[in-house]
Amino acid sequence: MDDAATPQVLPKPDQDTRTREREELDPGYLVICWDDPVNLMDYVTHVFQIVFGWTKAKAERHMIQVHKQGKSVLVRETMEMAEHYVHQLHKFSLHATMERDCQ
Amino acid sequence: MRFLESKDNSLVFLIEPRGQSILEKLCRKYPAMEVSYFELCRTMDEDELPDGREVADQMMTEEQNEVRDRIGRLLEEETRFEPSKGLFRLRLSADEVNLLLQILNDVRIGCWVRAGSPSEGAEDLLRADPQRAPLLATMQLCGFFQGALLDGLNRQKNPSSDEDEGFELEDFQP
Repeated sequence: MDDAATPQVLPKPDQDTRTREREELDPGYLVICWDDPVNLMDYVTHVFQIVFGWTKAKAERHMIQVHKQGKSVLVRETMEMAEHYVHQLHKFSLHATMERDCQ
Repeated sequence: MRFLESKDNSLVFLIEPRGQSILEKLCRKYPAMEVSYFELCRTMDEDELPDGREVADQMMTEEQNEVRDRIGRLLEEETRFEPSKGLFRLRLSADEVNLLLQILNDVRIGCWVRAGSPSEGAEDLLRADPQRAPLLATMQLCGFFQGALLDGLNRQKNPSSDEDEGFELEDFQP
């Protein structure tokens, strides 16, 4: 007997699983770097370059924004990627968090 | 310590024996940061994250162990610091420069946290405090080496850079 002839009934994913999957694919998470009085400005610029592959000019713009405005939104990403970037920035001892983009 | 030249995809720094000894001692202080020091988010509950705090801390611990092992091996290489006219030639790949930057910054920030996370311009207060003065000195030494390493990377990318001749330990006043 052909197995394909009998449709398989898969269990319905529960609400939490579906919500989480949708959130993980939603590029609605911001990676924010916060100002602190201790990290060297050139170092912060350098870390932005190596973590995000940015040009020096772009990295400097964000570094200056962190320094002058207290924070800079670095990227808008999926939950998984935002978490990855936050981990990378923490590895280099930069104060970064991920937040849900409410706009 | 100062950048000397870029050779065969490596950066070569000149470092005096005292500087070499200080650099090694600073690197041996790694890791100085608590793995759970940094918050993951401010406006969200950390439990909402797929991995969450526990996994983040575990990843950071693994990362720290790996980095500590790498720097330990690097410092123990016999040919890493090549004697040259009373100084040492320290040859590093760009990846190794990034590793040292990461380590020195960890030690620098770790000292800052242990000193009570003082605000900018609090150096005078720290210098007057015998408990915290050594932390300030360590922070500044890390900053000195970080500056020299960043200067080397900049000069490697921009060989025609006509900035000053790099950082000298003598110029540094803790």
